[in-house]
Amino acid sequence: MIEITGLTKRYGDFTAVDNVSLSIPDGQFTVLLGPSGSGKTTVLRMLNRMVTPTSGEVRINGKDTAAEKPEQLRRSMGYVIQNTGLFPNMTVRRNVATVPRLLGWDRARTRARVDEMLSIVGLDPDTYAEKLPSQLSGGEAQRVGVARALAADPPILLMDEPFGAVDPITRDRLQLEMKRLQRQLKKTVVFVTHDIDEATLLSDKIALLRGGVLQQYAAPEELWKQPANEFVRDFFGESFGLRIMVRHGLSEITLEPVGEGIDGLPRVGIEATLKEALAELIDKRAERIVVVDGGREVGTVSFTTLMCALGQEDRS
Amino acid sequence: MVESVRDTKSQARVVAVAGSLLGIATILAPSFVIFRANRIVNGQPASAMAAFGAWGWVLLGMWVLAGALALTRLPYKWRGLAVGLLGGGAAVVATWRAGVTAAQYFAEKGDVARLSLGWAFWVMLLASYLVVFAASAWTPYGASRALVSYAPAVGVLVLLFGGSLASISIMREYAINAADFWAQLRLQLFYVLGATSLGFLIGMPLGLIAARRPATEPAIFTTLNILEVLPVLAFIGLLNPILTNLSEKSPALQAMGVRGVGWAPVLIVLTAYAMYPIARNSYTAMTTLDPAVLDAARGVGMKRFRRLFEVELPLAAPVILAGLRIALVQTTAGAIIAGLVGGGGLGTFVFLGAAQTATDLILLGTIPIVVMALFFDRGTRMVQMFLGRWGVAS
Repeated sequence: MIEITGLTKRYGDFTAVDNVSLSIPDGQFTVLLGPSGSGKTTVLRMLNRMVTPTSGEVRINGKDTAAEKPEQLRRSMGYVIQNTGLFPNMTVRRNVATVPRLLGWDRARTRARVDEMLSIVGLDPDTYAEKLPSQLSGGEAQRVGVARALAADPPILLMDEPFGAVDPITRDRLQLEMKRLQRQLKKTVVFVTHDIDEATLLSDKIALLRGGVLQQYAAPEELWKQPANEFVRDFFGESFGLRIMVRHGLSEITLEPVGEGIDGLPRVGIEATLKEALAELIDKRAERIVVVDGGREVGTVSFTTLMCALGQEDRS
Repeated sequence: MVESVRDTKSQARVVAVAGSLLGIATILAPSFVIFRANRIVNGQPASAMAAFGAWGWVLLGMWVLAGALALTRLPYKWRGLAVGLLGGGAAVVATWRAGVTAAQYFAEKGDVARLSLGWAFWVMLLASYLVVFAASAWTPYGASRALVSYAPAVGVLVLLFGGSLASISIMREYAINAADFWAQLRLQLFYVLGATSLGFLIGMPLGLIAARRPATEPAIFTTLNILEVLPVLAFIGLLNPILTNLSEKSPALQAMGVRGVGWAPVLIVLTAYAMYPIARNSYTAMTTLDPAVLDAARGVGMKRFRRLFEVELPLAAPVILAGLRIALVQTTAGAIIAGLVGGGGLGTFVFLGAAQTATDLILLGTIPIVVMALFFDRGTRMVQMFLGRWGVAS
């Protein structure tokens, strides 16, 4: 549990972060979202005291972080940044082993942990462990960055636009893997981005900031249905509903019964997202599509089903 | 990448051909060796063709062949080996024949007669260096490149220590001054290594401080700049009264030989000069480190000293070492000044030779300095390449 209370950062007359309060339960994927200059990175960096708050406090499991030594605090939180920040003079193995070494783990344990972490982020230890960062592609380097951040099994993971510098295709893949990884490892993730799609896909809750002020802190569905103000509504824009459709699968919604006349209709797997189902409807110019689960027809979906599922009628 | 390699290799052809033409010219030039009746009179210059007889033709042939082969389309490896060994070999053959000719002349004319090496000889060594340099770019890393690069130097060393050159005037000067020569060489090394080490121990921390505390940067570099541009004799002159005074007051310093002249002001001045390139490069290295890497080092919870020793210094090392190399080479040449202010070193021969207009004595002091400078340059470059293997700096 991370409790942020009245967090403020001033640089001279300029207020970068203004009285931000957030409560982040364990295991939640929280995205700090906002345009550039909104203070999102500063909030993140105050969590591990890379930036010292002007006022306000951050409590982790009830303990005030200001009372802890910054180095100790940082070792208990994974930290991933945009340009990977891998140490170019160290092999992948040594990079990933950084925090375990700082914590004084013995060699065998560290070694086993590095191999495990590389496998978890999808890199074969035998191929990658002895490489230098300069021999990695952007996507590989960022995976190593994530492995390094998670090596000492910190309960909290801080990520500052980690996928900002990789190409769009790699980025999509890394996002999906990040989502899987977080579900698997149940870390409390605080993730900074300015990309609405990324925030919508990954987050449990989004904290939207503007000029250092928290505008709204809620799940994307709520931001869509009940935006707190004009800024929130405008920021997410007209197509927010469409974006939210990537968050939900057909398995989560109430399907229409199969009924008659389904021959010749397009078919889609139950594991598809609502957005994929919608794309299928549009692509095939169909009124309805049939949802199949392991070869069994479990229902059909139409535009109306999708609209109802999203709760369009709730939108004020 | 491939383009740039091809580029280097075709540029090497220009260098090799130019070097070979220069080599041909020096063999035909009038002053390859100089016959002197004694060590100070103006002697009789002679071309290699005139002095070496048939061997003159051999040398000419080697250079013509080197130039011709450089123009062919032989595979790079074989072209490099052939051209490099011919160009380097010419240096060895010319040195050897000069030694033989000197021995004959010496035997004929007796004790005081000298055979000196003329300007054409030295220019030919330059031509050999150019051709070897170009040819080594054609050979692949490994045995063939090492052979091309170092065989000529080994050849000359074998002649030198084998005694074949004993009658050449420089070696006669050496024979006269042998005991002194090694003492002065040691002293020279003391100045170079001492001043560079002190310059490193003071200059590197100053560079680091300037990089980490920007407020101190103007003060530090203004001071170092002023020291760097002070003319050496003026600098020693300024130190003179201070050191004289100190040594009069302190018997301990006096016992160490600290005086207004001698080794102490020389070491201080050379240290001051060595500090600048080392401090400047340390500063540049530390201020151009990747901010993401520094941020990550802090973010994973490394403390200040661990960040410095595990991340910052290893990444800055190649650039800092480049500064050390500049300081070493600069100090190697600068230490000559000790010869002028009673500090000894190889400068003793240079200034004595200049006073006596004995060119060979000047060369006795200069050649080891050149060799030393090349050695330090090569050595630090190799260490630098090793340190830069992760591709941070070239």
